[in-house]
Amino acid sequence: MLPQGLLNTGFEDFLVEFDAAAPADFRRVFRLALVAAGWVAPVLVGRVPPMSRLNSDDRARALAAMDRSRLPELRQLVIVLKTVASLHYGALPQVREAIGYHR
Amino acid sequence: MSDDFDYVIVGSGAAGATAARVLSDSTTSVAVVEEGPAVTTDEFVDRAFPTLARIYRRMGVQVTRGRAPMLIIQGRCVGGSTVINSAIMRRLPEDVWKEWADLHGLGSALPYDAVDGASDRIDSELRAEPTPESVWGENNRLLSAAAIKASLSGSSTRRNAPGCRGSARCNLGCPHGAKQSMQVSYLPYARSKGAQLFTDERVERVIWRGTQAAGVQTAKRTLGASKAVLIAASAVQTPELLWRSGLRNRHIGRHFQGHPGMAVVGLFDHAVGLGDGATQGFEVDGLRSDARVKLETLATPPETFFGGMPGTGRDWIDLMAEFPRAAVWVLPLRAYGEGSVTRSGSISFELDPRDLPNLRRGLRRAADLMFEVGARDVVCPIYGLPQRLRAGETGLIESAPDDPAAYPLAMSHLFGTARMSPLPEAGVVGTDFRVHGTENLYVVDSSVFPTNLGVNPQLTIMALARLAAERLVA
Repeated sequence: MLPQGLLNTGFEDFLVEFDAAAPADFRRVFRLALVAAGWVAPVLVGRVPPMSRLNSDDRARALAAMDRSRLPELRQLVIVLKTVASLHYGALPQVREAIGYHR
Repeated sequence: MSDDFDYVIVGSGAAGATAARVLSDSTTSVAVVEEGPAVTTDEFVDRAFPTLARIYRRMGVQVTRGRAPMLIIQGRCVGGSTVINSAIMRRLPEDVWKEWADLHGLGSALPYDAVDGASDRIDSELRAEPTPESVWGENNRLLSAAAIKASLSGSSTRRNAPGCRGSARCNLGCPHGAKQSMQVSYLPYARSKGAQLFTDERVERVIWRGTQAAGVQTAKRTLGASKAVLIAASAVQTPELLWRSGLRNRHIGRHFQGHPGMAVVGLFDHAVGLGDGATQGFEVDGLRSDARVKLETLATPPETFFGGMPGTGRDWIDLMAEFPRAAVWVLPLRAYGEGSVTRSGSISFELDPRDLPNLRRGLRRAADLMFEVGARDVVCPIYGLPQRLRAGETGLIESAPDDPAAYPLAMSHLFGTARMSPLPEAGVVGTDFRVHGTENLYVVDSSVFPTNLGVNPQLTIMALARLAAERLVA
């Protein structure tokens, strides 16, 4: 079973590492992606932003709508969010254990 | 601080290191200048983030400008992209050489036998061999089985990784030193003969004495070159350096080509185990003539696999959980599209209208092959397609959008931005690899290739660099 909830897995600590190591333009695009997810995604499902005010179901629907948007720019920002999240999540020992990736 | 050498080589990847090996046999006075850091085998770790940050250019997220941003993957360390590639050693295909000869006038400058002979010597020195079945792992075995079932031409991938243990970590740096990347093979050889390696030093420009290249300037020092400066900085960085050095030729930075590609993921009911087996151990050439794609396996660490899975939320997590039972095959496309590198280093690239139909044909074929060998679902992450395709639904791939932005493409083989031509009005370097209109300045990397290859270029890059260096000392 994969651990749920990125913020419960030390993602904020990872972001400190990310900010120290990532190129400036990658950091900028990541921040832009966070802003878009927070303020644009809710609108796509008829909710008032920001995302932080939505319940978990609506958050999931909003992010999915952004991922399926007809605007490629919005989809690309979701890819950026997923890329950064994956760099953290995929390296977690408990995640690797859960998927049988033993080293 | 000033240092004087016979030869100064800019870049320590496949081309620069090969040139260094050849030149160091004739003189001890060779300098290799590398922008990235020196790395050692014991530094390589099984985590993507620190690896990307340390040895990939722009952390692996360099993207093209254009309708569809594509990732451009390059190494940036001693050994260049040879440190992060999958060690694949493919010969220059004869049909591509014929194009070079017939359409670009390079037949007498680069006789096939000469390129092949240089490839022979490199193959032998770097101990290339077909990937042994004992380190295939299930991902490679599945593609082999699919090729046999479909009667497609395929083979165990020839790689310069003797003693490979199948740890599936080529792209994070080989943790066992089995892969004969330049930092464990040609560069130590050149250094043992007296060559000097300067690391963490970006070459700012070539220094001129009239039209003669007399050395290079880095932020820390001047390196004099009494015989030649060889540029081997890659198809992105070489044109930038030529511009920074004051050269003007309308072909510098133009004709940028590559092999954009994407993955197809098969989800099986049995364990596949992407963490076990050679990163890329089996390949299928049988689609090259029909769809201009090569089909090959690719083992990825969880970070990369997760990031490439479509969807968000629960759907995404469910696909992550499939990792133990997932096979990943990739299709690099011999694209017709061309782009350019600008003076500021940004890269533009657009697919040609013929490219997407070829890619879709290849993707569909790959998806069908996955089902042939027992996949339960196939993930082909094109925008607009269902996240999981079932058997019988692969036709949807061929009706996928004609919009490049719908495809998550990445490119790792880069060519053409200082292309070779006997005619100064048609290229940047002449058939002797010397930059037109200059003396003692040579470009010896894949920038000089007039076209892409359709196969992994490492060996051909080395072969051409070897020929260039051998001719310099002849």
